[in-house]
Amino acid sequence: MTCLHMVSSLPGSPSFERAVASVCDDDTLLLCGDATYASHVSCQGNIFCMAEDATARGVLSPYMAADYQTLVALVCQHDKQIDWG
Amino acid sequence: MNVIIQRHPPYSSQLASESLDIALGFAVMDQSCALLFLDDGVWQLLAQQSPSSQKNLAKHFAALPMYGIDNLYCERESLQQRGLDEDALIAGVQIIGLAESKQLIADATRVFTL
Repeated sequence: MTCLHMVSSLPGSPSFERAVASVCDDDTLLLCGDATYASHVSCQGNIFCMAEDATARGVLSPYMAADYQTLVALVCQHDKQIDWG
Repeated sequence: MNVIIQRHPPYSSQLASESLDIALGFAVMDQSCALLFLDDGVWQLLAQQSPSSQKNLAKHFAALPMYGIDNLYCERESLQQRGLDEDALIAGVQIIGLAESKQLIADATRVFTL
């Protein structure tokens, strides 16, 4: 079962670390909000970054940019999703 | 299997209580579910809870087997990070490692977090 893990809290926060630790091989991690500040994430699955949130913060994220259409596609592609906050 | 993840401490908000209600909802509908306590959610499992006005979560968790909910999982690493001992928890909780909790989430058909 594939899972989309969404996280919106700052890198280093318990929610952020929990989200990263929960990602399995076929899963995807989607960085939203303050999580777009992340630059050195090591986890097993793919990593996307909400472009609008990164742009708002002046962040040049090293991860694949996602717009809202991508977000909807990601939700549909995975069996379930978890918002870690 | 439905998995309900508990990551919030009890009493400071309604999140723990509402999560318990979700579990009871599954029980009423004869749906199997497991409760997974991670991070600050492990505080919910302390045996010596005695809130004056809110419902006592520990007592409710202890009664869950009567509703057919036997799977209460608590992550060992979360306990260790908070200096908590397994002996301080209510009976019937299964202590699992980070890898096992990750697998539990991966295997779940549905996951609920509040």
